[in-house]
Amino acid sequence: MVRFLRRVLNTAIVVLFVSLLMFLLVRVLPGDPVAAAMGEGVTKEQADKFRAEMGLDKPLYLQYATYLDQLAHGEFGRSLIESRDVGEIVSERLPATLELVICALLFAVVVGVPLGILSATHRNGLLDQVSRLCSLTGVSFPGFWAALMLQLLLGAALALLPITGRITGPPPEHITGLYLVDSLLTGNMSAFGDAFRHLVAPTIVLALGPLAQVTGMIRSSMLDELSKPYVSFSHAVGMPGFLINYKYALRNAFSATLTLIGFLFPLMIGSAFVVEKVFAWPGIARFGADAILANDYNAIVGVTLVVCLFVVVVNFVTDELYVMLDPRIRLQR
Amino acid sequence: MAAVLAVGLVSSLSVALPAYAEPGRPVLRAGMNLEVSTLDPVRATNLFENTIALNVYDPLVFPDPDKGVIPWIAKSWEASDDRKTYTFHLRDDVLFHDGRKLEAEDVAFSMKRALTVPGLVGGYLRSIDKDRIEVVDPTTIRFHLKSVDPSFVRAMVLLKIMNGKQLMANKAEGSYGEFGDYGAKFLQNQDAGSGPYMIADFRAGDHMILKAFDGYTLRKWAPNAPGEVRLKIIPETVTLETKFFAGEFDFDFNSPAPPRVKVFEQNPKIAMDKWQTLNNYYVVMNTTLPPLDDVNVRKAISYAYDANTVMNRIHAGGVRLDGPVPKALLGSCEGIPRYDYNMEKAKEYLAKSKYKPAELAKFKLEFAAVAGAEAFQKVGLMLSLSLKKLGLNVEVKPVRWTDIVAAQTKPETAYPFVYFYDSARVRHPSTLLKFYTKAGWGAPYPSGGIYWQDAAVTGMIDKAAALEDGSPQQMALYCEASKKIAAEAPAIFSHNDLRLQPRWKYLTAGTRDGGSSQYEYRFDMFRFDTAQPDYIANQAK
Repeated sequence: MVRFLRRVLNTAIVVLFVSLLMFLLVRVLPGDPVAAAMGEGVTKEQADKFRAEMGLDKPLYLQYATYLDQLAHGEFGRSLIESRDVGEIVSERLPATLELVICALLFAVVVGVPLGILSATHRNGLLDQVSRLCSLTGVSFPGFWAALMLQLLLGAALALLPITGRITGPPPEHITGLYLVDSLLTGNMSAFGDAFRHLVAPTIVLALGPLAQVTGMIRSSMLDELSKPYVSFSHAVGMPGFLINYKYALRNAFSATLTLIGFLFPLMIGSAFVVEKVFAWPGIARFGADAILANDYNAIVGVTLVVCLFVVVVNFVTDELYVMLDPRIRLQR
Repeated sequence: MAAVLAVGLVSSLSVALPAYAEPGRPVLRAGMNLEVSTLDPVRATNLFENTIALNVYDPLVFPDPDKGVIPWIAKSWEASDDRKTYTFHLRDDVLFHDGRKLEAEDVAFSMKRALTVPGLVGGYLRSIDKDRIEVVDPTTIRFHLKSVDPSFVRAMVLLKIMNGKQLMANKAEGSYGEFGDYGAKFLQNQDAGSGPYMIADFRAGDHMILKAFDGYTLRKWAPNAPGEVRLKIIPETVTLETKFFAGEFDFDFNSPAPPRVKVFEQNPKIAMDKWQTLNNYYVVMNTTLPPLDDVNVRKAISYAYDANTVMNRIHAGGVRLDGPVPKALLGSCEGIPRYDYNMEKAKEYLAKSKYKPAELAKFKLEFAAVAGAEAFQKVGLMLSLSLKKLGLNVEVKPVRWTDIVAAQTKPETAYPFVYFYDSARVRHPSTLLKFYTKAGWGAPYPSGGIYWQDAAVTGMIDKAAALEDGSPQQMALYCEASKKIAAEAPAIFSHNDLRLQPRWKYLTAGTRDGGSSQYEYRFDMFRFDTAQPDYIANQAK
């Protein structure tokens, strides 16, 4: 319990520090966000009026104090561009990105882990060569190119998948904001199929890099484990290969991959920008990139804080999973 | 392998998707490559926000490419002798989308709101005395100007009339006293207009659906006009093109880049409309910085600028711009000095400059090109190569738009060169010429960073403001002012671009400039040929 509370306290400190850092960074960079928000031909008087309305005419420490006060009340401040609370925008867009990233990560793990194991168990064989070639290709393709090719092939030429968007018909009733989950919870199978079809292409594109990394990591960890004496001994006593590979060797080999997955999650939120742009996916990564271009102070800080929170939470979950996988870590604590 | 499996699974999950469309009326579908951040017409800035606003709201006067403006909600208007009081007489049959009749009170409300809420529109109407807006009777309204404004009536195109009672009934807490938030929250996903279309559905970052307003009285509905408009936000241009060719979109808002024009033109199912816009492309110069403070250096630079390559190779065509104002706004004005690409003349003028070649070589001049706009960077590179031959060092720097507009507000920070276009939102010479007077210095806009003036030019512009709008005397003064400005070359006057509008042949869309920014995109004027097989096939997609 004490360890958990300490962790929560650390998280709060990290988030506070990130908020302060981002708050200051976006304000010291050159550029007037007000002029950008108001568009061409804006007069100085109008810009000043808007600046005062947004509280940007106050000293920095007062602005930050106001921001923290808003945060304490669950508000992220008003977006300069959209003129509404950033929290509202984030809550609308975050589920789209989360759904995409979770699906891509699941795809990478579900496909990458067996592929890595097969690659390791058939070392230097045809399967291994093919798997390595696929990994190398996957990690080498630029995301935007793969996205455009998939659109042209599966969307435009074969008309198998929608070219863009998250759903064509009306979305399912809002419960979590994740369309697949909401449609299942409400029994709306038409929306489920619709949302699933829209997810396939962006998921594949976003998963290409991580899939290659997971496959490669599992392969090398498995090779390491398979060369250990306990594996030779298990084979000698006649234990089935499947059991050795999947129950014992994989469990030990998975720790490093778990670390990788922990890193991949926040990285994928960041790199989802390209996929969201090409597939017109209404997610937070695209919004974050637009906010940076428009110097939308509150939006930049808000998006960064949310991503930061996810990094902290995923790290926490990863650490707990280590303990489950390897009891030695629990004993050391 | 997994991808193939996934696709197979998806195919098996394909279902008949529910449609939004009403049966029988054509649905217009298009993509927008910019986000729609606001539905408030006062705050609309980009092409799509404006397009939505002008389809959902109506102005008092309507832009006309030939006549300037024509009566619309206002059936007539008159100005006082001193041109400081304008009285508008309104039609009595205009309905808002909630069914209420539009009255002069709504016009007064809309004007006060536009002048109070920070936004672009208020800037163009700032000559109006906000405290002296008179509602004479339900169909008559009077505005008093603080000073004579020659572009006033044309600027009224920008004022969208809003349903004041509806907005006040739905006001939220805000910073405008008794007006609360002035209806800002309500306008996040709804409208308060009287235009031909109503907002039916809006999902930020995803789509906008407009439905035809059957109670619209200002123009009769044609049976083959769009009964519904579906606009999807597609940030990536290549994706937009893919969807257009796949038949998911009926027309493309974006002019294709020069290498792609042929792809559209060679497709037998696609038509390409072309028309000249009044988007004025300039390279503005900060004339306070050496060596740009020397008129001979500026002239040399103007001669070293290859406008034809810029127009036809980097952009998809255009019409040469002689001075600060396009010909279409000046009437018959001859004799404006023009700087056609001529490196010999450029060398001649540079030799006349007060700076010696060795001094000129020492200057490092930055050319700010809007970050992300590839064409703008190409223009910068082309000019920098020409100037290198003259011994001038220019560095092309991609800069965010926000940073450019901020830098231009002070002479010490304004960039030596900025390439951009001015969309001449209010079609009047005065709005473009003000940047060559002290009144336009320091505006947070590229032209605000020129810092050039001439007493004679200022005198002519001031004198013209007091004359009857559009009168020959007024036009003559604007013409003379343009000549004097062009002779001093405080900017490189490049061109007006061509709008290239790809569309499926079953659709007739706007085929010429609409008389004010984006008015060619009034969707109630679009027409479908519903008998064409492509129309039938595409509407089902």
